[in-house]
Amino acid sequence: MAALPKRIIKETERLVSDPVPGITAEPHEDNLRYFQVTIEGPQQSPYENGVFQLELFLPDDYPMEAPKVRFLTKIYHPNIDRLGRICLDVLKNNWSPALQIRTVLLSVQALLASPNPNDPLANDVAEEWIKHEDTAIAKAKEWTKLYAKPTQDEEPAKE
Amino acid sequence: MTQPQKADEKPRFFRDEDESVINLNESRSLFVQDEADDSDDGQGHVESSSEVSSNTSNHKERFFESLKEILGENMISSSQLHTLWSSYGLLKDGISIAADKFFEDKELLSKSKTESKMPAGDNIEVIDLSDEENDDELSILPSSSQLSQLFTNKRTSTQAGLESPMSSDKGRNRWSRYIGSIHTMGFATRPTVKPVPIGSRLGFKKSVPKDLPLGKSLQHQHCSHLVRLIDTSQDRELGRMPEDVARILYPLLDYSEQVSLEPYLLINNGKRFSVGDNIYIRIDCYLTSQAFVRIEGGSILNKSFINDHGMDTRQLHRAGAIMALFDAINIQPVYGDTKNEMIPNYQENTVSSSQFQDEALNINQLKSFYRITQSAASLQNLPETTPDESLFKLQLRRYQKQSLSWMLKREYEYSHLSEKAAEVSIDGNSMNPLWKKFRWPSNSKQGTPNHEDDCFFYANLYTGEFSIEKPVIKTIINGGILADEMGLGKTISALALICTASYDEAHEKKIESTKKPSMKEMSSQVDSSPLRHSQHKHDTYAYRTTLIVVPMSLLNQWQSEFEKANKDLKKRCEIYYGNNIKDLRAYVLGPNAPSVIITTYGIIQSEYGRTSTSGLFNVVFFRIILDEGHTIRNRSTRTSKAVIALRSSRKWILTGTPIINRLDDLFSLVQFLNLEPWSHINYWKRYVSVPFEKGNYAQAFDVINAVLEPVLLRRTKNMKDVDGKPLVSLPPKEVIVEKLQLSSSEKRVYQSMLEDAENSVKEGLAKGDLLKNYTNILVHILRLRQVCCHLDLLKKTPDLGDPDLEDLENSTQNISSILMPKNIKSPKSSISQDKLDALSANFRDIHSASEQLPSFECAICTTECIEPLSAVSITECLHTFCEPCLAEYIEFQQNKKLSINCPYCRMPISEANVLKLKEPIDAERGYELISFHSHFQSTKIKALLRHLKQIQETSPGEQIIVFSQFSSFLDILEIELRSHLPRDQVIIYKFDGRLDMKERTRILEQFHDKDLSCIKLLLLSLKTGGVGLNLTCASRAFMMDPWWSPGMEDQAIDRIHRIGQQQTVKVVRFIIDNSVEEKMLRIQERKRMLGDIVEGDEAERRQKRIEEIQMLFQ
Repeated sequence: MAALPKRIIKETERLVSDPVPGITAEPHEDNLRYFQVTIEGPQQSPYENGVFQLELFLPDDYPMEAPKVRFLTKIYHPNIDRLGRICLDVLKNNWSPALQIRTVLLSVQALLASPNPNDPLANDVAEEWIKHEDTAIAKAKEWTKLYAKPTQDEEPAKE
Repeated sequence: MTQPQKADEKPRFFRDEDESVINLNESRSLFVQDEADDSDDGQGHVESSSEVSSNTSNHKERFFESLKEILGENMISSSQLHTLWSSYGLLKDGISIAADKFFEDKELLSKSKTESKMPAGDNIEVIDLSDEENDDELSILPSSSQLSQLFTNKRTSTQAGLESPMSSDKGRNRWSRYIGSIHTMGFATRPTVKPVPIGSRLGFKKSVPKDLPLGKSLQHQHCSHLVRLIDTSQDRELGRMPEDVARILYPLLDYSEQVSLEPYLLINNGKRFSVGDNIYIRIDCYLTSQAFVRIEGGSILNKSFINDHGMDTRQLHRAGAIMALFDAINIQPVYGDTKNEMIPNYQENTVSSSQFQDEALNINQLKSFYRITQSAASLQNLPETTPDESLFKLQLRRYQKQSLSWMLKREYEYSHLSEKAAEVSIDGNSMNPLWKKFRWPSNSKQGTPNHEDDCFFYANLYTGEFSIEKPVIKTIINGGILADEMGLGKTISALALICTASYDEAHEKKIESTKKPSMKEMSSQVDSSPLRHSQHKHDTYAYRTTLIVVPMSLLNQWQSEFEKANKDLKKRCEIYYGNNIKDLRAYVLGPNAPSVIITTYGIIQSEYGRTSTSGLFNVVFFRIILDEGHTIRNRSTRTSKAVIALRSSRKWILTGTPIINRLDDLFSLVQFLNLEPWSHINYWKRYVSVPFEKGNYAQAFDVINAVLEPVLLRRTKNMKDVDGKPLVSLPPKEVIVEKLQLSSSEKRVYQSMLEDAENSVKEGLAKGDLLKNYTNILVHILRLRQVCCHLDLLKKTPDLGDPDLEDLENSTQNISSILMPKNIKSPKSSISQDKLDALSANFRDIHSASEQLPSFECAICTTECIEPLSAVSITECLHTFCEPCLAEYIEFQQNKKLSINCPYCRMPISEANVLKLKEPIDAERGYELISFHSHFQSTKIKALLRHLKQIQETSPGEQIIVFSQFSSFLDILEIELRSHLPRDQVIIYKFDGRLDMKERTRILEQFHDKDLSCIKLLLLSLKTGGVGLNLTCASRAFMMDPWWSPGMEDQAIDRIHRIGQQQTVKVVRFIIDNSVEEKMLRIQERKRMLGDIVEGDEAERRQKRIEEIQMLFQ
């Protein structure tokens, strides 16, 4: 494996030293390009109080290429499919090398705050979201409570 | 075996053939009577056969002997003898028939003789006469063809008046010696009353036609009617000689005092002559002491018979005749010297392809030239002289001590030589090459004693002169050529000489001696300048000053070397350059004359022809030393003429390459040294240039060898010293060719220019006027080469230093169309200057100008402060990135066919519109933006940077040389390297032809000082710095671009790979893959094979270039 670019080291350091509120990202011990990420559900969103597990991987071409980000926690969201894949422009066409892990994760957080059912990835969820927004939001809240609990090993550690 | 009792009678007939006689003893055992009949025939010379015995071998021997006596030993081979014997030996009159047959075929024989210059005995073919075996014809009549020829001759013989009878009066000559005989068959023109006795002494008479002035070429004239054979006893004409013999004889008859010709009748068949009868005669040829008189007086070489037309025609005429005579009597030079064997057969070595058969030396010839010159002063024999420690600080190597001995000897400074050294003669024993050594044929008739030391004589077949003594070349000049290979320390050797013998001691003594009496005479007067009173002719003799002439770049190097070497504080060294000495004449003649004055070829050239009373030309120096003496190789240049006009009593040339391209390169050197008589162009042409052009390489080299042997000393790095150790052991040298790929944008430019170039070549080839477009094509090629280096070079006017363009000056208009690009099609910025200015203003607003050192972030690598500033790339939207980051991004997007937007603000951007910062010209104005490709970093610079960074990490304190032939490229390199390398770690110097003397010195000095904390980089122009400089402090070099001739690059590399170098020399040559440069490499290879032909004359040089051009575009 190629040596870790300076930029990745710098980003990692900064993620640790100056973390984004509500987001954690820790590199894997064996693979510094692989990050375990948690994102807290934004307030006033169906995902409030949920803590979502994600994985983030920096491909070889990073930062020319966008990082690969995927939800590990089950989530009811029109732009995130059952496999946790995220439909987000900055992860696709709108990626720019000026973006960073931090900005990507913020975008993901923002996506949780404002789902965009008009550009869906999970079609069934998006349909539901458009037709019966209330039930969809309720379902999202329910899923959050069900799945996005703070992890057992994490929470006690904090308390 | 030879029979001793007969040896007295006909000694010269007994030399070879003995063996064959024995071998054939068995054959033909009969026919004894026939032989006896022969003797009845009345032929005096075969009378001995009356002692008939049954011994056939005796019989046969007699046949051979008789025949040989008639025909001359040298004229007939044993195989011929046997053929003749087998055909006629058994016949009655066999001998005369055989002789007749022999003469009939003589023409053929002589032809084959001249064609293959082999010893006579071997090349004469066996004449097959078997079909005439039964030929009973006894009369000795010419064959019909011969008859008709004779009649032709007769017809052409006009009614020329007869002149003074040819005298063979030997009484006047002190002596004469036999050199050989011509056997020939004349024909009777007048009947005789009775048979002329065999062995009669005849004579020649010369008739001079009135319409033919003496000495005029006889090329198209017949001579046979001009030479009459006379019966001396009756003073009556007998007949004429055949044309070929007459042609030889005719001119010789004018020199009867020197060459005496004595014809004898051989056969008379017992009859009287009728008109048309064949007359067999033997012409004995003698050289008389008169022939040798000329040279007894003194050196023949100094005779001033060379006029503007070379030798005068009369002399030429005589020389030709003597040469022809020697040919006819078949006397062969004896080669005692082994030297001739060393000269390989050049005919075989010459390159067969016609385009390279010109005056330029091919590599083999050059090699053999050097082989010859090296052998001249053998290292084994030269004694060593150690310079006085009180005068000379440095330690000399052994071979340098040898060269010091040699140089002192050449100056006849025996007092400084070690005793041992003084004994050994260096004058050499080499014979004047124009002279050939001959053995006197033994001839008992003259009764000359045949002592060993008396059996040779010497002849100059070119001038027709003779000598008894060996004509050893004695060189009278003071000085010579020190032609040690590059890096062997010629400078040091020369300095040792200067320090050892710094002034003309003999002259000083003379002055002292004249001064003293003069002081006495005018004791009352105070005489401030005793020099005035010395001999008048000496009042311009700066007998204490050595003038050293060097290329400008070496001026200071010489001075510092002198300071390093000289220990005697009284000796001073002055540079004469740029008017620093007002009155040179007064200075060097005055009481404070410096020991050494160093000046440049340029100064000499500029002073030449100027009317001055105080310059270089108004003084006779004690000694002149030309460094890099090959500078004057072209004798038509003003510099050469000027240098040759300098006067001094001792002259030296230092050069590692006495021949650059042609043998004639040597002529200027010879002329400078005043090596009589070779310094006369006519002499040189006649004996060197012309033979060489005619392909007679052996002769030309022979002459050169003899000319130079006494005055030239050359050692090479590979030679072994007395102890068998190599003279110099240099650390190894690694030259690596690093092939680079052009970046995509460079490639686009390259391709488009290549297409242009190819089209114009194709056009030229199709139209057949490639030559006419030659200059255009050269420019095309130059452009391609420049693209390989840096796109910015395209924008500059062509480098005047580029020799390719030297001949373009005349046709400037033509070129400008190509020069001025249309060609930089891509990546052409669409940003106008106005817009640039506006952007610059915006940019300055954003990054407040007040900030002393603005820092720029790169969003891609998240660097907060891009360093150095040259690495900042700026988008049209004025966002800053590191140049490599942005370039990587653009390339990535391009490869993925994605749109290229500013990573920061997503505004579409284009590669062409990327901007760069230009460092502020004045601080107040602040930064300015310029378009990116005007700040294009080239592939080569990137590669160089990569190497430099690596070196910087692994071995700081290294000194590195970067060569390029484009000084504009050096400029770019300077800027780019400066902005890419941290200033405190890398110091960059630039050295090219635009620097003046002081700067050159300063730069070299600074570069030389080792500083372990930082890398020192010297950007060196190949042309300015390629010669002479000593840069052994550096062990690494980069050649940014290939040169047409490999020699130039080798020279450059030798700047660091020379004596004093301690480390392995590493050289990296950058070559752009798949480009014109790669093809240039191939051309270099070819040149290495064939020897370089750069100079040539204009047309031929162009022809060669066209081939190269075709090679380039294959």
